[in-house]
Amino acid sequence: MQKSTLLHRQVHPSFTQDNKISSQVFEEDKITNLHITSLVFTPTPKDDNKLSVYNGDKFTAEESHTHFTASFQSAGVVSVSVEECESITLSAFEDNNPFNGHSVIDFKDLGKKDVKAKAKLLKSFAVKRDWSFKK
Amino acid sequence: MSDLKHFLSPRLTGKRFDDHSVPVEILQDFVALQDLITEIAKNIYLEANPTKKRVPKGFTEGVTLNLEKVEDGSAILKFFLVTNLLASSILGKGSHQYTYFEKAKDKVIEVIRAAENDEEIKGILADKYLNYFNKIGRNLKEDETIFLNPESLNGSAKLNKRVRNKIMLTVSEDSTYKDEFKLTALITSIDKVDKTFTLLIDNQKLAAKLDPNNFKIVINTFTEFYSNVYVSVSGEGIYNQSDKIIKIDSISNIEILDPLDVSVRLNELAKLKNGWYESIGKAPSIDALVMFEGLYDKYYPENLPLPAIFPTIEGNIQLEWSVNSKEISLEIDLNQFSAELLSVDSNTSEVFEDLIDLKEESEWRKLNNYLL
Repeated sequence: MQKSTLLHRQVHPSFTQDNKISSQVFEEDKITNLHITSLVFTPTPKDDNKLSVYNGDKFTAEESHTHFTASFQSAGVVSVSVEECESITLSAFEDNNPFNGHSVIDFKDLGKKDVKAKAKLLKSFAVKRDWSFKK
Repeated sequence: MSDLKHFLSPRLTGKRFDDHSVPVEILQDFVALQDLITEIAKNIYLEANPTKKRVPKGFTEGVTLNLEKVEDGSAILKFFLVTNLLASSILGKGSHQYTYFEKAKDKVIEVIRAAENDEEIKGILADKYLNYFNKIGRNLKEDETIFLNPESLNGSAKLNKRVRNKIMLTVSEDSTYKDEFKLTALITSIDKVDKTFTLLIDNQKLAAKLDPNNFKIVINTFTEFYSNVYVSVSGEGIYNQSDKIIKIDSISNIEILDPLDVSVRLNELAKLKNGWYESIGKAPSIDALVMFEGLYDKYYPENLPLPAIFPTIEGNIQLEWSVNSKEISLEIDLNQFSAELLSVDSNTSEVFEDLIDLKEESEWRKLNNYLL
């Protein structure tokens, strides 16, 4: 993976409120809001502090969505780059487990507060990029 | 010269009455109650005086329930009966007008008690009188009750939405009743020929009339259907025995909801089931969400931006804001209503945290420090 490689993360339908547009749409220019939670980037207890992502060099955002939704729910895909992860001292690497292209953002050795803080920073990167793929 | 006699001191309970005031629309219900009591009093007089074809002149003239004051104790209204004929001899020996109005009031209380206890009410008052309950109690909200005679030794008669609707169902020929509604809906279609539009409410489609007052909002909202623009609609509708709205009679107001409308979002989260997130997500407690909404409505400062709200895998909720370069979250423990605030500046990576006890109004004001 390169520094510029995008890492695609699936967004559970309950982790977004983006499907609505602001009422201001009827007053001025259309304003859309991407509201996702930082929980999208917070590893769950079963993740062993490793956040599952798709290697953007092997999957487009849409392909990752298709692959993921064969087993789970996803409202769309948001992405961060390897460089962005490293800028906040998170390493990202491909582990190809359980499939080729499966990668992780590693939160190891971080306390609960630091995990949440870094998840917020990842969300901030992703929101600036907007949806990589939206169902 | 008018006489004045204390007649009724109903106590009103519910969130709207907590500050011991009474909204004007509730007084309309008491106007309808006055009309009902007057009509029953006339009927009682005629039954007691079968030789009379009508009530004496002046029987109802000047009879009004005058509201003297609102007292503390949720809200207690004090009504006085004002009449010119309070002890007039024209009503017959040993009788006076006040007696008929007292008896009429007792009949109303009897009907309410019977409905409250799921007892037969048809034998107490004729349908034409029961129909007055179309207006009496109509303006009550779900959490509100009128205790008509709170000082009664037999227990007060409690009029709330359930009791009122039960009375209306009793007189309805098709087991329906009319009531006000305020609902959240999507607009799914417009019929230009019939001048109607269709609202989708909890997977049920209901038609409503398109009129100049709602035309612009309906058209704009429908255009954005695929963006799931919700509207808040209020008006009058027909309900069935299961208290489900089955027809829209009229619409008094329609407005587009903010995409982050808290009530709509909490309603969505209340539909989550255990296992919602990859089989491990725990559903938040509906009672806790209702309680949170009550605290939020009461204490969340109006000048602050609306939060996005998300469920957590542990069965709690998390509120989030993006304010300038700050990503802010408030993770709420729905068992304790305690919350952890975490703010991270994406420019400087500076982290700030705080604890907030959501049960305390003063604690909510802390949010001003972080969100403004």
